[in-house]
Amino acid sequence: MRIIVFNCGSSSLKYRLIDMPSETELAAGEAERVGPKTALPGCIHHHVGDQKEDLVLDMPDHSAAFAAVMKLLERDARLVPEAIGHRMVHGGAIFKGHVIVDDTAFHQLEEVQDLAPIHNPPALRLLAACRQLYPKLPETVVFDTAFHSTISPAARTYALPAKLARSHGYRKYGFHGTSHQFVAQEAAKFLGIPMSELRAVSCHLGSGGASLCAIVNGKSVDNTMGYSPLQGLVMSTRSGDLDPAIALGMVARAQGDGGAVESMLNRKSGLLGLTGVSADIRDLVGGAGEQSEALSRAAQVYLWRIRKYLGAYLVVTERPHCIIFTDTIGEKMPYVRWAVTAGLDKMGVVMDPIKNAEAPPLPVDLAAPKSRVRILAIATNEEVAIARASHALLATQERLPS
Amino acid sequence: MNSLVLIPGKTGLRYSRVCFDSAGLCESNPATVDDLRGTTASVGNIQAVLAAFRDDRPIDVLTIRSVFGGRDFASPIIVDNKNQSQLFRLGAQSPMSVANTSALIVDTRTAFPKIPIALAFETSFFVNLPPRETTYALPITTGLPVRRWGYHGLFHDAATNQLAQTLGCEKRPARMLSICLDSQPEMAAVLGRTPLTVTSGSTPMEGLPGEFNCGEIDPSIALALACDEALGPEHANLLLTRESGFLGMLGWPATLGEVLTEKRARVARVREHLLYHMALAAGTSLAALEGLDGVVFSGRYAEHGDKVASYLMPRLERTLDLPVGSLPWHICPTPLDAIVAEAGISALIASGRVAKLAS
Repeated sequence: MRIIVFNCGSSSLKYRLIDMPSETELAAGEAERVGPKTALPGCIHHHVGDQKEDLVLDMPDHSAAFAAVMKLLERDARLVPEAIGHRMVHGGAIFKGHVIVDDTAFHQLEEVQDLAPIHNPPALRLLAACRQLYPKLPETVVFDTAFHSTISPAARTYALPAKLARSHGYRKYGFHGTSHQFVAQEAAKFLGIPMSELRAVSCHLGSGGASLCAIVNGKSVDNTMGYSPLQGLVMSTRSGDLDPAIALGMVARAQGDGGAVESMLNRKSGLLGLTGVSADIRDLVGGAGEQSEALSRAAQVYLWRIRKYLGAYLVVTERPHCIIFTDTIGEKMPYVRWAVTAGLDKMGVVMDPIKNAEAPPLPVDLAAPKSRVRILAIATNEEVAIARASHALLATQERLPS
Repeated sequence: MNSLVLIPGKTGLRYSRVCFDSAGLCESNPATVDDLRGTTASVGNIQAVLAAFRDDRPIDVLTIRSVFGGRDFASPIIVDNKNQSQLFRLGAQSPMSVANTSALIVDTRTAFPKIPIALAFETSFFVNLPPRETTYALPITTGLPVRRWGYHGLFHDAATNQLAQTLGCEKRPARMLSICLDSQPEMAAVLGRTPLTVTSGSTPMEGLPGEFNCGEIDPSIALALACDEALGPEHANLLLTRESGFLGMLGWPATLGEVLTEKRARVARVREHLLYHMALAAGTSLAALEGLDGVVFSGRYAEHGDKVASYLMPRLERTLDLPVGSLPWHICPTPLDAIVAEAGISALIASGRVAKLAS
């Protein structure tokens, strides 16, 4: 069965056509720099087997990226999907597990789209477009929040009036669960440790969104994102952690226009807000020449927030086996990995700087031999994880084609 | 030397006369006037405060604890017309605190024209926090005058000063985790005399949960509450600062001391929540300091530091690969009024007015 998996990041659209259950990849690619303009133009890196091609084009939104990807696939009849799997960031309180999409589920998804205003709406629009183009194909939705269902009450509760928190569902949900779970499983395999014993800090550093996850005995115990993906690390266009009083003050100044403030905090803050010119950390570090003070400060703020949470989760996980770096920035930016782990020798974290700079093939252990905590760079593959979940769900519901 | 200390709060004015002799603190008489709110303080009431001390020992300096001093006030000051105006101009950045302090300055200068008035600021200790710590990732175009501050700087300053002396790190600055156990607890990573991180934010609302204060929440929740037609930003602010924290979680008011010591299951759950977030903050401190030499507890509930230490220290020792019980921790018992008084006296000495008094 060919399942095409779509994964909407806040500034990317990853896709992978996977034959299940063999997990053989038939075609794949990633549309990068979707959304606000950055220093470089948008690009789709598409490949079928060994054949690779890059398509440079502007992609102002995820629908445009999807249309371009479908055109690429439609050139070969053998690449027509038999089922579609979608990654959905936030399932809210309605979705406690993954689902097969029908009219009821679609309407419920509409109800939760505002919980992740950057990710859920484009994913939902993508889902609607797929339903229109391939009405007979089964579609599944796999939620990012599922892996974090094991976060303890101490970590997931906000110190709000209990009745209010209950009635509005105000609690930490956590995100990027599909990726954190996948790389944790890969790390356990790499280190020869049963997943059920793995202690790790997973750093999913995407070009758009980013989060850290504390993992104890193979289960998520904390995640830097919260009720929504806005909380936590400084991201490309999201502010991350913010004094609640600032948010209240911004609404007051905007004369109650919460939509404008929400848009500012989710789409115009983070690195883009601090620099005014780029939403991408790759434009700010590791390049030649001197940076302006604003760019340098933005990079420092970005890196410092990761480092602080890394320290926090090293304590929570108590002598973890490893730190895992993954996704676009975590896999491809040696400077970021170095900057956030440098000087943590006392916490058992010692990187091999030469190995880190060499960009070896993944997965790789970048820690120095004396490091108690291994430092791994592992390519995330949320698409395979989504394909597995989708295939299992369709098998349960007997929706697999004969 | 004697200092009359005034500490304005939400519900009243705490005052005390603090006396120092050559051996150090010799007397402190704290009391509270419940009907003396900062903004409505009257000259008569303040004179009544002084009259409460029925002896003839003169007050050398009257010291007001001020929460917010912004970038302008990096140390305690003796009030004059120039810096009084300077403080008033900070009102936009911290309206409540500056209004309270300003009202008290006006009243006390009227009531005691011959006594020097000193201000000791909670934010002074954090004036030089690194930009990477103070900066929020907001659009530069907003021009909002927001940055991270700490709001228990007087406790942190005194406690880490004491701990550094105890640790006796001579070749390098001591790496210290300072935990202020007050109604609104706060943690700071301090390297020598320099803070590197602090849990509070642009206001004391951010950070650890407190007796009434929510602490860290997802900004989306604050937005949702502010946009709720039944609340609006102002009532959302009240909900998050007066009806949340331990009160909100428990359904009844509880002090930090009670949360740290009570055995009831519901309180234990709140304690677990608080301690977990303290462990997270401790971890950020380890990463900022690149290690740790010691931990110090201060604040109104410093005596319960052992309850926090029993949870925290084993975790920190495991993280740092240290033997059990090897990481030192101390309790700084010095009360706030004594710390404020000392700050006032140091400002008085720095101003050169002590010689005048002596003569």
